[in-house]
Amino acid sequence: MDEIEFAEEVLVAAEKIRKLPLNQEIVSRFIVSKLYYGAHHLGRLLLKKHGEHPDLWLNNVHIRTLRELKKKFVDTGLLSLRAHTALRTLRFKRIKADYFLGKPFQTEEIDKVFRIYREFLNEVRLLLPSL
Amino acid sequence: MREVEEFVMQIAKQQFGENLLDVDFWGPFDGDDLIGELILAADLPEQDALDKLGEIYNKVEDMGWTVSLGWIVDSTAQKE
Repeated sequence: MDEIEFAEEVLVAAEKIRKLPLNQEIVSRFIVSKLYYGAHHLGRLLLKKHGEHPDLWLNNVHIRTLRELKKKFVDTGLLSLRAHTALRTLRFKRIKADYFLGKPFQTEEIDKVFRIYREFLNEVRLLLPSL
Repeated sequence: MREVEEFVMQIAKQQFGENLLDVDFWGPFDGDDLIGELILAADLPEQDALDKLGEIYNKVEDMGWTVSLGWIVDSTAQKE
């Protein structure tokens, strides 16, 4: 499975999981976490296309991915600052989902996470053929 | 950390204006100097919020800090 397939399948799975009759707090945290990783792998895919080797990174992988994307793609005009901020926002939400159990998720917040994810996925889809 | 908080608050106020009610700072986390959640009085389209957040990130990084931020709409304001 490549990164695009993973990102698309994670989205399909997240939409289905959301409809399951389960504890919605758990479902929300699960969805947010998995959607972030779908987006994170898209970021790594862009870096690989640029000649980077994120698979070899062992430390600060997530922040490094964001920093390298900013340098190689946003600062060069290939990727919008909005898309980069979308990925950053998804990372923040993932931290909230996995580490801050005392911070609840609002229903509208999960709707936004889906829209932000699609925003990032769509921009990456458009960018990839040119790389 | 206090210095980062004050700077983020200042820039967040510039970007979101009166729509910013507060910033709930959670502290340093996993490579970030600071993480926190902006609490807004009213909702706004994601694209607008992302653009404003992007400006905050740029200004904070110009100062040499790394932060992660999200935003939520104040739940009590939504009910009114």
